[in-house]
Amino acid sequence: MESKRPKNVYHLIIAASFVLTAVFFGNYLIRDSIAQMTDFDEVDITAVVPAPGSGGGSGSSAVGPSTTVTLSGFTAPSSRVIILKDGQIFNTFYSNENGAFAVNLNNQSAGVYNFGLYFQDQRGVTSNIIPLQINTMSLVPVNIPNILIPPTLTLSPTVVNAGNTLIAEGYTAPGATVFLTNSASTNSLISLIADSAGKFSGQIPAGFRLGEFTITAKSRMATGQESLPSRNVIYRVIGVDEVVPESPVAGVGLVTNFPSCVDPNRNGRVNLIDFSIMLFWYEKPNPPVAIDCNSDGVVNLKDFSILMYFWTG
Amino acid sequence: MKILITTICLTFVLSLANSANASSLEFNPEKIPSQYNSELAVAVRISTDGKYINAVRGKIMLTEQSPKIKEIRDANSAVSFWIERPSLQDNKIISFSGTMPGGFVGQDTELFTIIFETYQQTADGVVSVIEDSEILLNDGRGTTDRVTVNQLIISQAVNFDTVNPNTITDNISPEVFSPQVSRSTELFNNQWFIVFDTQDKQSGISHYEIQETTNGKIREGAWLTVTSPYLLTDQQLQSYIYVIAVDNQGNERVIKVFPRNPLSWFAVHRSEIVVTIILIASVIVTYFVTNNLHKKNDHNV
Repeated sequence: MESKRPKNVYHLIIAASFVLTAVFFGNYLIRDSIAQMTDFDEVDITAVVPAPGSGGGSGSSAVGPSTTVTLSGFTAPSSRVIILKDGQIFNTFYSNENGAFAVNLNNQSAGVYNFGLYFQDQRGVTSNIIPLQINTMSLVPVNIPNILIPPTLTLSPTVVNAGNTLIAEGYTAPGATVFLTNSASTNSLISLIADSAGKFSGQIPAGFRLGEFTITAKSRMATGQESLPSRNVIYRVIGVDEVVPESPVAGVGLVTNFPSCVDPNRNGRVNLIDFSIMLFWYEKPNPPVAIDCNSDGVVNLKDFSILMYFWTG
Repeated sequence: MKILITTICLTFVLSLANSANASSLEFNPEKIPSQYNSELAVAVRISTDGKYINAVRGKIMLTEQSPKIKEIRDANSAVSFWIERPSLQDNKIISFSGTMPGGFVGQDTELFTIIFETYQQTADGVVSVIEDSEILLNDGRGTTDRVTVNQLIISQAVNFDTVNPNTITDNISPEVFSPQVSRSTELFNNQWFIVFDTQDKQSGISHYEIQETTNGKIREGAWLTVTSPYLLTDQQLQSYIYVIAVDNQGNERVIKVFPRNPLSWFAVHRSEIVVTIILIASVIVTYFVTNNLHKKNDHNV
């Protein structure tokens, strides 16, 4: 009888070891398979986790009282609208078939926020950003209606012989009047009407002055509401006998939406990564030529200003 | 006399023309009392006169008359991304430079606030001046705007429009953020790095800490205080990355970044597997040895 008791104990220990091992590995197998299911190639997957209390702070992670910010207005129909909050993409959605949009941003805690709105037209061209500084300190709901997002604008060609014409195209709210301003002439204001798809298009005489000039567009609704200017689009006028290059020319047009110096990691977006790369080289000797936007041999506030202008979040 | 009057008039007209349409960086209030028995807040504010700007920088030079600075708050700034967060250097200079993505337009908007400690009787005079200021327009070319500045003055005059700092009762974590892993030929020789930034609208961000771990478990004492961009130790991107944002009241926001190339469960738990196998083997060996001993004892009996 005495020899049976240890045998049972050992059997129990062995069985328990196998069960524990199975549970232990099974748990990690399941967890790792979940992690591997996500697509890590483009976006880093992140999660908010409880503060461990072992870092530098007290470990608390409370959520305070909050309010709602409502933004509404007009842009091109069925277009992707992007909302930035303190420079980072906070929300994206689509305008309806009439170009109207409205969005509620819930759970905004008390503070002063730098919001920004822009849209991407059906060609992928992005508009200028409307900056909105919104104060939610009093926790009263904030409503900003009738926002008219600036139009998108492209030129074709971007290098033109003197005396020829350019074609300006873009998107804005349907039915809006678009005013094009040409830096080549102080009195050259051309107005176009956007169609039901929000598209506008028109010819602009390049003039006979040689050099680089800028065209900008502003939209105005029938209600009289006016947008901020579009992004500046640069074109170059060359001599009548000069050959117009077939491929895109650096420094003119809006072919890629922004110059390569503001997108050093070449992911097609101008955001915190590009800012951080520039930040590393701020006022340091021998910065990479590729991020020195104004080619003055140093990464300084001017380069950051150019980066901020083309920001996409 | 005529020349003098003409010169004065011209100077006046030119100064008016210069200040018209210029952006400004100003202390508010611009006069503080010669004695103050409490902490005193002086904001540095920006006005753009209707123009869209996107970058600002400057240096606040403190004179010997300046009361001691307790802290600088930038929790609700017009600046979204600081290039150089305002901080006191050598008790003499506060340098700052920051940017506003997509532009900013506003009047008397706070950039940051200087909190002075309680101070005793001080002679009248200039406390600090803003130098090397620069404001750039949001025009895609980095065009410099004209800037006007004022001075911060201590005066024995009675009526001061001074502002006490709000007592900060911040028990709210910094805002949720999304660190991003990237690489570029223009930084760290195309090695992988991580960038991060967030806001804390109550007391402001103090610092960030990070740790990389292959098994996903947070290790106490393994936190590193870092700044963005941070060159990752694990260039194979097999580690979980934890980034903590800590505000000035010690509240934390912890973000876990999942690895792009996670290790297999076997590789992650190699040591645990070895220990478990040894444990099981020991139990089995002990079982057989003890069993044999019992058999021998039974046989001897």
